[in-house]
Amino acid sequence: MPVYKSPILILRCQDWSETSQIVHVLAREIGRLRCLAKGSKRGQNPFSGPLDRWTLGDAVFSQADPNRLATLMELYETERFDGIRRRLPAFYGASCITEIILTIVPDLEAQPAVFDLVVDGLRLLAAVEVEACRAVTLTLVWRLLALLGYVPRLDQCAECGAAISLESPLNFSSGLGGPVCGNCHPPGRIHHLTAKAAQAIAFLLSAGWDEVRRVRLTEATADLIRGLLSARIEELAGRKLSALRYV
Amino acid sequence: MDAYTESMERLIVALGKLPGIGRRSAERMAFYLLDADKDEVDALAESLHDLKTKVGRCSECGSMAEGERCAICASDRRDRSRLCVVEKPKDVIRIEATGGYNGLYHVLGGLLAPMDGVGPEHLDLDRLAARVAAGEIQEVILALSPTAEGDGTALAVAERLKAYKLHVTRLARGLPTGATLDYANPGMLSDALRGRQNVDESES
Ligand SMILES: [Zn+2]
Ligand SMILES: [Zn+2]
Repeated sequence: MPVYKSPILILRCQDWSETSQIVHVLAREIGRLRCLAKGSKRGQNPFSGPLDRWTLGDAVFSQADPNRLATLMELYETERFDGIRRRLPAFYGASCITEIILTIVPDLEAQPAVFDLVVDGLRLLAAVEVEACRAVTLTLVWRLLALLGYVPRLDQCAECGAAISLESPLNFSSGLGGPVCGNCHPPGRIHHLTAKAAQAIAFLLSAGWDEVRRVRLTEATADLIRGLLSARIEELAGRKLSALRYV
Repeated sequence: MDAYTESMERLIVALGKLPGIGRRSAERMAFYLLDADKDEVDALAESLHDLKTKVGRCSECGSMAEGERCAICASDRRDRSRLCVVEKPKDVIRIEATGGYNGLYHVLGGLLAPMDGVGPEHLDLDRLAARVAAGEIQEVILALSPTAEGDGTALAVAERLKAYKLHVTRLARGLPTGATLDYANPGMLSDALRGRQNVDESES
């Protein structure tokens, strides 16, 4: 049976039996997958206790074939992002990121850059001031969608590629996940953004994390970004995200 | 299955729906009941019926009750200055079994799970805040599972109660009794370090 090694992030744990859990993980070298952790609830070797969401570690697992549940054979826990469990806005932010991975990241497709962004993001959420969690989370979600190829750039028409100026109001298509020029009329919802809002989003997407964490989003701007992200994810996943509204 | 009568088959299917009971065990139980005294079976049928007609939720704490309030809320021997917040009625039974707690309870009816659409508005926090606002409660103990969702729930409860002058605590967590340090993961160890206790209880 093939045995794999990879850093993993635990996304969700479910009871499987009195003694075992099924864990849904994002593995850096393999992608998203579900594995059985035999005896984890009893802390049986090699587990030191029940597994929990938002645990990062180096894992060894085996998988007979891609359609079957993998078996988690070993997990060396390296990080647990305590700050997420101790501050409510960070908890909501991490829940939102996790729900997105569970919703739109395809199974068994290795995307190391996605893994790294998510882990860095959780680290950041665990460390930043409570007031920064909202800007950090929304920026993370946007960058995650961009990395997965679901939101194109902000400075060109998502349909024809014409240059879009951020100096004037723009029309944002949730069907295409980007701005559209006056000549293009794609199907799906169109959101109207003021130039100021478009610039704010452009800043969040290009700024360093040190700058992002200093941003305090107003309720109106946060609402707008949530609305754009929510509509885009609904287009992609066919359902609304549950956790985004609490960010 | 033709070999069974209709009633027998119906009972086997019903018993087979109970947790941990397969078809074979359900058949064994059905045969046991078939051979049992009529009084014994009637008593069982009556208790099943009463379970769904008489047992409801306590109007004060949300735990199980027959009638308006549960026995704990109705008792005059409980310490009304302490309130233990739990996820579900079964947790009340667990804590009562320790014999080490004499305060009141509050059942939230779930854990905060924003990814599954369970927000703070879905937990019984309004009634909790109302109970606290009434003024008698001085200490709130959050007896929630030491999982991410338990942690999130504790944060949501604390957030909701922050306006009141209260002592809010959580159950200690860390190393299970009987564990050795060799097998403890960093999370357990860091929890255990945070929640360390005096060696000699007379010092505490
Ligand atoms: Zn265009
Ligand atoms: Zn009660």
